[in-house]
Parts: sequence; C-alpha cells; structure tokens
Amino acid sequence: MIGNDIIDLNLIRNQSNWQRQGFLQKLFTEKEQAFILNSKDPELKVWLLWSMKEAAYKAVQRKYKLDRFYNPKRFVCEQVKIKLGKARGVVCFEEDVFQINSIFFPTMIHTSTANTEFSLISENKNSRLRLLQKIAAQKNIPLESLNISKDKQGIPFLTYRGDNLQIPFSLSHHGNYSAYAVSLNMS
Amino acid sequence: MNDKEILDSIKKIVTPYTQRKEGLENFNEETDFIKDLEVNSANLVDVILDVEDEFNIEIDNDSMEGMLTVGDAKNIIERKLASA
Repeated sequence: MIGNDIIDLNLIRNQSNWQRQGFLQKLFTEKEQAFILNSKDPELKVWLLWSMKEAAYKAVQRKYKLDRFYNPKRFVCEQVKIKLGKARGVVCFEEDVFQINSIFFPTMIHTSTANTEFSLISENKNSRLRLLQKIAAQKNIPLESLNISKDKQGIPFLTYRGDNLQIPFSLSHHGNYSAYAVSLNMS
Repeated sequence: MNDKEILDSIKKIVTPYTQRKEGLENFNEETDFIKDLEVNSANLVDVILDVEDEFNIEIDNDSMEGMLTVGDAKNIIERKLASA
C-alpha cells in the first residue's frame, strides 16, 4: 500500500513551533524524542519523522479502508538512517511494517512508502496534469479519458472513462509544493 | 460552562490555525478541522494543546484519535470537565 507526504519547510516553520511545551510529547514516542533532541539538526528530524508517520498513516488508511483518525504515536519510526539528502527507515503500525524513503532539500521534504515506483514533485499546481500525462503514456490511453476521483474516506483513485483503473497512488500538498507517489504494479 | 461557551472557546482557539477562513463563518459542531477549516495536520496538535491549557484538562491519545470535528472536541472537553 502506498502513501506519501510533502512538507514545505519554509511554511511549516511559520505554521508550527515544534519547541512549544508538549508538542513533541504529543506526536513522538520517547525514543523518537531522544532521536530528535540528540541530533545536530533537531528541526529537520522533527519534520522528517513527522512526514514518515504521515506517509505510513495514508498507507494504513488505504490498506484497511479506515475512516480518518489522529493518533501519530501509534506510528512508530525506527531504524532511521540519513545520508546526503536522503533518509530511509521503517514505520511500524501494530502488525504492519512500512519501509519508507525520504529526500530532503533546504526547502522541502518528500517522503513515500518504498513500494513507490515513481513520484512527481512540483513547485506549482501542475502536478495533477503531469501525473495524468505520465499514466496516459505508460498505459497508452488518451489523456482526456483520465480523471482523479475520491472515495468516501477521501482516498483518491484514477479513473479511465469513469472506471477505477486500480493504480494505487497517493498525493500530498503543502505550501508551494505538491507531490504524487505512484505504484504501477498492483501492490 | 454551557455548549455555546465551549464552542466559542474552540472557535477562538482554532482561528489562528485556520487556513480556510470561510469555514469559520458557519462554525458549528459538524465543522471538520481538516476538511472545512483546512487546519494543517501538524497544527491539530496545537489545537489540542491550546484546549488543554484553556480548560485545564489533559487529552489522552485515545481521545485525541477521534477529535476530527468541533463536536468531537466539545464532547471530549465536556467529558473531561465532568470527570475532573
């Protein structure tokens, strides 16, 4: 199951004060808090782990067709390794373990589950069109017959002439950025 | 504290985190923090911390899990105030 999350780091700095009393304690386990606070760049670690939890949440919600819920501590980040603008790790949710990959730049973090075949990151709003163009080319079908719909849990799906194409994908918007993660195999 | 006072208080708390200000015009128990007010998911925790401070209660993770609408928040606050 697929999930992704994008964070505009300039915007999140204005929106959230992660150093606020109680903030880390509500979102992160004690082990995660130690990982954040013992690092050289705690701010980046806060948003990296947060994006991992969000990506895994989307994958879980899709897998079990769950209604929305808000309990970030049930998603536990482990084995986080960071190297040259990339990070990998796992997020555990009860019996499920999701492999997660992230890339980060000074202005943004994009995180997706490891079954992502490709992802598209845009600095403007045209990523929807780019996604549809890419799928049209891959599947050799006309662009104008493709569309994106949402089910009642708010999970998006791709349609071809109104029929669900069963191509798992996840989308995320934040500030100046939007991103799609797509898995062309049926996983 | 009556229903209206609690709702007014929640509205005041959530206003700075609301990205879709039109959502505040028809503020009621059905109002969804994320869908209607476009509160960023990371800011939901700020809403929870502000509610804890304002009402002097503690919202545990299980209660937080279902806090998606204004009505959910109101019910949690009332429950916590009653057991305080």
